[in-house]
Amino acid sequence: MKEKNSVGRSPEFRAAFTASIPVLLGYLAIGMAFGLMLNSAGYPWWLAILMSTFMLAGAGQYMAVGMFTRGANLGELALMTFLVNARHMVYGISLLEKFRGLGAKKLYLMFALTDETYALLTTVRHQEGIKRSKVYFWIALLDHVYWVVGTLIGVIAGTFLPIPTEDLGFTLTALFAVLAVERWMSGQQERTFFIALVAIVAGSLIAGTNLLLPSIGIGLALLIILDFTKTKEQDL
Amino acid sequence: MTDLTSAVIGVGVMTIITFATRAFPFVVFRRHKPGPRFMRIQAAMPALVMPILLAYALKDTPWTQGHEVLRTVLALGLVIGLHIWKRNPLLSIFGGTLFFIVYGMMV
Repeated sequence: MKEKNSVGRSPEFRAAFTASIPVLLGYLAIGMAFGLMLNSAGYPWWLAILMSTFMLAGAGQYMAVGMFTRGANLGELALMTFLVNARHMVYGISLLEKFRGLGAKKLYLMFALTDETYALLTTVRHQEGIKRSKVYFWIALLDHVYWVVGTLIGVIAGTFLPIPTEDLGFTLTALFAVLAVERWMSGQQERTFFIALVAIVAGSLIAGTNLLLPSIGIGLALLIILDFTKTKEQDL
Repeated sequence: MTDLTSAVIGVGVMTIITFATRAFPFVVFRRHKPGPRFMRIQAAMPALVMPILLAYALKDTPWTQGHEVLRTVLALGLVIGLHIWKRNPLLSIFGGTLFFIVYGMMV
């Protein structure tokens, strides 16, 4: 006998919700922090909501607050956003098969592909009689909602907890330090870190404080050259 | 153009770029999967880019003012130390920033 289920009780929704609970807590916390920060930087509440709704990018949004505070220009903003989000470019590779033939939902799934959503999508287990595509969709949507709700709470809390604006720029430094440490601790990248150091020195010698693009260019070139020499040795 | 207007435009640009990075593999690798060299370079990109971004973020520090340098170095050390200890990004970022702010207010 077929029962008419409301959305709240559909098995796909329930499976997605259960899977997303860890992200619920994380996103509420980080979203709150973001809303708080942007509010303290003097921007209106709706900008935080706008950013969390359309960008849906934790690191990118944090970085944006730091850059707004420092008066970065559009070019710098664009470049930094690309660099901080570049890791997303490989997420889709492992999802190509999972997303095949999903139609309109695929567009939203691509849009909402955060680190955490990606992690959930690649590890959620398949259950009998449940439409996978709906589970994916609900996971992505729920994560998105958590993020926006967290932001909203943060923005409201921000009206009671002001922070000196200039000092907020340090959160950008802290964010990159955290990301770098995370990478370092994931292991096997010592050589790349050394290349980065070389690139930083070279870049600052060439361009002073505008070292971003030159350093990345030099670093990338070194990576590619070293990869070619390594594989050439293997061919011999 | 007001601060706010340029921020909104900035958000528009960032939205497009963020979406582009996410959609990239679905568009580019639709037919052919990427080769091993691309994958190796891609795997190394975060480790390359993050230290450079960190160096870039530190560029505004007034390196001639001893107390400012100390403030930044200590706060940064706290961020790194906290993160190695607890692996909690929220704790690390906010711990370090809080220290940075309080130090600035008190010293």
